[in-house]
Amino acid sequence: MRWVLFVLAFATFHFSNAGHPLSDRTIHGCLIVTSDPKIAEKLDDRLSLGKGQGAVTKAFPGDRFKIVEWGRQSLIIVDMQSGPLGMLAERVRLGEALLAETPKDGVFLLRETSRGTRDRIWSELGKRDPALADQKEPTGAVGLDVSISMRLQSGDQWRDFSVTVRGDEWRKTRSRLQQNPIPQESASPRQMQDWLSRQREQDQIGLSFGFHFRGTAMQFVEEGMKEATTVLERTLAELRVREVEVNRNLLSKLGVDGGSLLSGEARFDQLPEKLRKNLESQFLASYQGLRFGSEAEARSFLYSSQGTASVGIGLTRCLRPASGGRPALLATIIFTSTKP
Amino acid sequence: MTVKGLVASLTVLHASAAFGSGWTEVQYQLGPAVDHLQMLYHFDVYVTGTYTWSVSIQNHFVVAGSTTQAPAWRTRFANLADNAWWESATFSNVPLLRMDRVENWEAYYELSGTNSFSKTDPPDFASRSLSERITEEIYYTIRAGGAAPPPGGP
Repeated sequence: MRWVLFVLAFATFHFSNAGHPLSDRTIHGCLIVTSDPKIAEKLDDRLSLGKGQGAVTKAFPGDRFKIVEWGRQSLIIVDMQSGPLGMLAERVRLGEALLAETPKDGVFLLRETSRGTRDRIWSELGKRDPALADQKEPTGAVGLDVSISMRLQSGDQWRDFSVTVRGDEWRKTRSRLQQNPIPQESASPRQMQDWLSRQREQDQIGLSFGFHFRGTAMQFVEEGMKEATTVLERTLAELRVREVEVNRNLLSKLGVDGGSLLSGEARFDQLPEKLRKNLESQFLASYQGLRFGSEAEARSFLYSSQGTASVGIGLTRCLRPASGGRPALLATIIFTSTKP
Repeated sequence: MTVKGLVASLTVLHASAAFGSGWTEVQYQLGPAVDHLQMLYHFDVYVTGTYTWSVSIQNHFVVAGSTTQAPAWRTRFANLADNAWWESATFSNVPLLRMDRVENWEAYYELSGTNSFSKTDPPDFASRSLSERITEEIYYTIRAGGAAPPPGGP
């Protein structure tokens, strides 16, 4: 029994219920990084400075906050849903959910997809479709699409271009999506208004970090900022590693040879031959859209250019217009990519 | 008339029936439809909101060549044609987020072919070509902002 008690005591000493490492330090200073105004507003209610570290961290559950010890008596608490961190973490979670259930042909029949994954897919699509949020039982299908994005540069000219990778397979996917369209509802003015205000709020949250100093941390702003940015950079880097790993596995499941792209970057001439030829042909076919005067001009640019490339993975759906008619519109949202 | 002679006559009759007035088909080539994908244009979104835009692409179905009606042209070559039309799509009130990049794409196929005939008495030659370009799908993709920042550092 004594042994059991010891184990319990040990566990409580090192980890809170939320999984944070604990020590018996008394906390007098805190730097909280968040871009959520609601959290910032209630900061002083949450914080209990002058108490043990366990009491402070309890108010910041581990599934949302990352807590790092700073100095002798302070903590840095990072809201994992703030700023670019939140956006990146969301992409990773979506990728991981997709990876767990990716069918061979990359088409998710929503009714047959697990609730968790379906919710994540729906949430991603809902960012750009206000009417989707009110569909209680999602129907239809969503396909994974892989594309290569390139920035090509020749002299002082540059062009951004992307190309669908899954050639023949993609034709089959498209046909399957057309057989399982997602009904297209028109958003009501109210839905549109709600969507706009929600997204504008998200814009603010997604693009900013707020640094909130409390207690003795106020006296060490410079040091605190340095520490906090180190923590942020490290956390972002960890998430990027996870994102690339998820992308690598997704591509592998879809049978796409991304070559050196999978490590995050590749020059045009390093692309696998099939990809390069595919890209060349689509680049030349798109010469007008790329603002070249002729195909010959586009060819000359392409052959003299250098560039970097990254892989993008997207969700594609086929919409069945509410007014009837054949489902024809394919809208793809590229939600993640390796970094150029 | 010998049996051999009868067979020869039937062959001529068949040729006349099939190709008319002694014409013999010397070439019928209809290539496979070749699929293409082209990016029409793209734009960047600077303000979260709803956007409406249209795209138009010109398609065509052209049969050009000999005007003679004598040969039995295969179905797709039967009539001289010079048809061109615009295929359009309008995307209305599409909700887009700041930093999104919208790319408009068209999937289309091209098909070409030749149908030629010749005859000997009097010698003559007739040929038509087919050029077809048909839109199969017009769609757009959205590249989410921040998914792939441009290279080159700050």
